[in-house]
Amino acid sequence: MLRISLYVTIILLALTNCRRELDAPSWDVDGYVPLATANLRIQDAIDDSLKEIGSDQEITLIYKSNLFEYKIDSLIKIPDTSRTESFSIPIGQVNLSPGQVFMADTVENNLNADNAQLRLAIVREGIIELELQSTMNTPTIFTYNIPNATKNGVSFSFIDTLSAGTQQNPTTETRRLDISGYTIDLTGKNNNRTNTFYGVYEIRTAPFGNPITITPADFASLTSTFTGILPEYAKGYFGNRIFEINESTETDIFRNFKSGLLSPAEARLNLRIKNEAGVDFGVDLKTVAGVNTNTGQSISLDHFVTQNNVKLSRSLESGSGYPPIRPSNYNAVIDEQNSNVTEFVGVLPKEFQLVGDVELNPLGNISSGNDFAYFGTGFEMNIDAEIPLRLNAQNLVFQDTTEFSIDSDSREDTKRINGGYLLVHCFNLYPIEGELQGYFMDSTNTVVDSLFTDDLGYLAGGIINNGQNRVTDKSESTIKVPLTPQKIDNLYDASKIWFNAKLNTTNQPDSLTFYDNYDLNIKLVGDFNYQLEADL
Amino acid sequence: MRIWIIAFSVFWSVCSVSQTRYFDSDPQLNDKRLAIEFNTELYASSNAISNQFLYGFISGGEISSSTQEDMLKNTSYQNRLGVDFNTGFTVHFKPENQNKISYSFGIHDRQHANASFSGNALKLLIDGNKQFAGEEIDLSEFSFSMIRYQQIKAGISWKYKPGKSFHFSASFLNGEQYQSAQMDYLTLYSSAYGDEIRFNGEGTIYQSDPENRGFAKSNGYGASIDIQHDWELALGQNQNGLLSVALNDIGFIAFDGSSHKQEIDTLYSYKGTQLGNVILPFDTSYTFIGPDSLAEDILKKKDTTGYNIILPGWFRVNLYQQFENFDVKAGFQARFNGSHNPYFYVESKYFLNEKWKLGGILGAGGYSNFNIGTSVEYSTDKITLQALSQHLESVVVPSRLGGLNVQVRAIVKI
Repeated sequence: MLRISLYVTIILLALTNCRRELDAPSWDVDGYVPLATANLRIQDAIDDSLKEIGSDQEITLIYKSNLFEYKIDSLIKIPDTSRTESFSIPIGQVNLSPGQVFMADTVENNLNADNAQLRLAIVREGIIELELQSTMNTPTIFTYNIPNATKNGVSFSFIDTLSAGTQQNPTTETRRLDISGYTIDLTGKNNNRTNTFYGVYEIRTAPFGNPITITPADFASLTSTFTGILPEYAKGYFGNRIFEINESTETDIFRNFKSGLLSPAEARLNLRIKNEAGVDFGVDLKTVAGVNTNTGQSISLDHFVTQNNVKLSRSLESGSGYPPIRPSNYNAVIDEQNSNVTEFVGVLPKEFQLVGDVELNPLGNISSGNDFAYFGTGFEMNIDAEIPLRLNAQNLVFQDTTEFSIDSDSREDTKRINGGYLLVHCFNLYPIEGELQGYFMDSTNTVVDSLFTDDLGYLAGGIINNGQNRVTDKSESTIKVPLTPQKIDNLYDASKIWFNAKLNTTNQPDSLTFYDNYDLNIKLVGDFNYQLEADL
Repeated sequence: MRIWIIAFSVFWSVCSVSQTRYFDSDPQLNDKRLAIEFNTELYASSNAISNQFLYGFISGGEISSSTQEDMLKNTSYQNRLGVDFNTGFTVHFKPENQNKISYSFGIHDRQHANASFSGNALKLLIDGNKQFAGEEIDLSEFSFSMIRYQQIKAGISWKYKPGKSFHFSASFLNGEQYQSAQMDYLTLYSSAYGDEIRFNGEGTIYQSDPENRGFAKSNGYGASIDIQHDWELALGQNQNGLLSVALNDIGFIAFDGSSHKQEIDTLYSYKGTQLGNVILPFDTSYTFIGPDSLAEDILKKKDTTGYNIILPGWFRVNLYQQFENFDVKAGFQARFNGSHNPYFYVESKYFLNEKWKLGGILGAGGYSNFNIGTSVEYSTDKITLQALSQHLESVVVPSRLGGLNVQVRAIVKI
C-alpha cells in the first residue's frame, strides 16, 4: 500500500507540476575539495641580505651592524666669537684731513674651542661678519686683515669705504664674508698660544673727501664676528675626556621568531673598532647584551673584550687619498671557543645593548699637541655576525599573521557543509617537529576561534638520512581538524589567521644543519560531507 | 561542490515529462463525423535512477543516504534516462459524404529529456569524489538534452484502398527551450590527498535564452511531419488485424540568436588557492574563490549564436490482432537522436464486456531494461476513456528500479 501511494504521489506531483513550490531536492555527498596550498620556507623569512647560501646549500646567517660611532667634529666645536674695535675722542675737537689714519691696531681673538687646544684649523664652513659704523662727515675707509689666515697662499684681507654719516644718523654697513677653505694658524701673533689668531685693522678718512672736525659725539667702529665655524681639519691637543656609551641597536635577523631557544652549534661575531682620528682612545665595554624584547630574555656577552679595556692607538696622517689617514683598527673575533656567543644568539636577540666608556687621550698629551682630525672621521664600533644554521631548537615559536577573505558565493556553498574535516597535509623536509595552531581573528584582532579545538596539530619532522646527516625524505603527516557549522561561521567572521608553530629539532640535543632546499609543503583539503542541492 | 551540479544536475532541470507510445492511432470515427480527443502522457524511465530517488527528487527536500546507496547498486557501465510529458487536444473530423478521408487538427505541449551517462558519473553525482581519491575516472560519452516545444498539427488519413490506409500530418513547432550538454571526452582526477582536482574534457553546451522560459514563450521555430501506413489483416473470421508502420516527430527546430553555445575544451587543474610562502610578507591578503568562479574558468569559450536541433523522432512497427474475447498487440519502437534502446513489447486486452477492456503489458528495452504495465479501457459509441500505466515493477522495488508512466486519453465522438 505504501508503495502504491508513493507511486501515485510521484505521478500526481509530476502532473500537477507543483515541484516548484517545494524545497529543492538535496542529498549528501562525500567530497574532497582542494582549498589551499602553501609552501613554507623558514629561510625565506630571512632577508637575502642577511644570509648566504653555501655550495652545499647550507645556510649561514650574515649580519652587519654599526653599534656605535663618534665623529670627531662633534668633539672639536668652535663657538661663535665677537669683538668690537671703536674710535672716539674724549673732549674738545680734532681736525682730520683727507687720507688721515685715525685708528689702527693689532688684536688677538680667542676661539674658546671646547676643551681643546688647537694650533691649526682649516675652515670647512664659516663666516666673518663685519659691521662698520661711522658718524664722520666724510667717507671713511675700513681695512681688516688676518695675516695667518691664508687661502691659496693669500692672506685674508678686507677693505671697504663707508659713506659720510652724521652724529644723528651714523652710516652703518654689515658685510658677511665666507672664510671656508682658509687655513688659520691659531698660535697667535707670537706663535706661543693656542686657539688664537690675530687681526690687523685700520680706519682712515678717504683721500678724496673734505677735511673734517670731529667732536666727542663722533665715532667709528668695527665689529668682527666669527660664526658657524666648522673645521675641515684641526690640529692641536684635543684633551683628555671620557664619553659614556649607552646605545641600543635593533636587529631584524630573528624578526619572525617570537620565543624559544635556538642553540646554534657555532656562531662567529667579529667586533671591529676603527679609529680614524689622530688621537688615542681607550674603550671600556662594560656590557654587550642581546635582548629579546618579545620574551624579555637578555644575555650578556662574556668575552675578553667585555672584561678588559681596549687601547686604540691614533691613526697615522699619511697616504695620498683624502683624508690622508691610515686608520687604526681593533678586531675581536668572538666565537663559541672564547665566549658564550651561541647562548647569546640563542635568545633570538631583537636588540643589541652596548654600555661602556670611551676615553680620549687616556695617556694625556703624548703627541705634544699634534692630535689631528679630519671632518667626518672619528671612532666607530661595528659588529659582523656569521651564524651557520646548524642548530638545535627547543620550543622555537614561529608566528605570522595573514589576512584573507572568502567570497560570498563560497559562503553560500559552505552553508551546506554538514560536517567533516579540514585536512592539513604536511610534507616536511625540515628536521623539525612541532605543534601547530592557528587562530582566526576578526578585524579588531579579536580571536574568534582556533583551528584545533582540543589538541594542537602535530607536525612530523623530516626523515634524516644518517649517512648524510641531512634530511633526504619528506615526512608526511596529516592533521585532521573537525569542522562544525559553528567553526565554519567563525571562519567567515574572521579576516585574519594567526599561525603559531612551536618547533623542536628532530634529534636534539644534536645540532643539525639547515639547507636551502628544505621546505614545508602544506595542503589544505576539505573532507566534507556536503548537502548537494539541485539548483533548479 | 556545485561544480558537480553544474555538470550533472542538468539531468533534472525538467519539471514534467512526455511521450506518445501507445495511443498513436487515430480514433475510429465509424459513422461519426467529429471526435474531440484529449490526452496526457507522463513517462520517465531509467535503468539507473530509482523511483525512490526520483520521488525524493520531485517532492523536494533531503534524499536519504539509503536511497542513494540502493540506487547505486543498480548502475551499469553506461546508463540511460528518458523523460517525456505530452499534453494535447486534437479534433478529428470527416467531411459529409466522405468515408475514405478524415482530417485532424491539434495543439500539443511536448517536453522531452534524454541523458546518457556512465556509472562513474552517477556515483560522482550521488556520492561525491572522495570515493575516487587517487583515481582518474572516465566520464566520457556523457550527454544530456532537454527540449520543450509547442506543436500545432494538421493531419489527413486516407483509406486509399480497401484494407490500406495512409496517414500524414505536418506540424508547426514553437521552440520554447532547449538545453544540451554533450561531452565527447571527459575525465576527472581526484588526487589521493584530495589536494588536486583535474578536469580534462571536450564538449559543447547549448542553452536557449534562460530568461525567456515558460509555456508558449518563443526562442525559435521549426517543423515536423508524421507518416504512417496501415495494412488491415484478417487472420480469421471476425478477427480483425492491423499492421502499422510509422515515422513520428521527424523534424527540426531552429533556435534563434539569443541562444547560448559554450564550448568546453580544457585541461583544468585546481589545487586551491596558492598561498605561496605565507611566512614571507606580513599582512598578505588572499581571496578564496567559490565554485562558480571555478566553473567560469572551466568554461573557456562562450558564444551567442543560433543553432538547429533535430527532434528525437520515432520509428514504430505495431502488429494488432483481435480475437473473440481478447486482442493482442505487439510491436517494436526505436527512437532516434537519444539514448533510447530498441524497445519490444506485447500487450493483450481481455474484453470484460462490450464496454470494458482490461489489459497487461510486457516490454523490454527502451530507457530501462524491462517493463510491466497494465491498461483499462471504457468505450461506447460516443465516449472512449483509456488509461495505461507501465513500469509497475518499479512500484514493487522502488529502491532499485526506476520508471513510471501514466497515460490518459479521452475521446468524445459527435
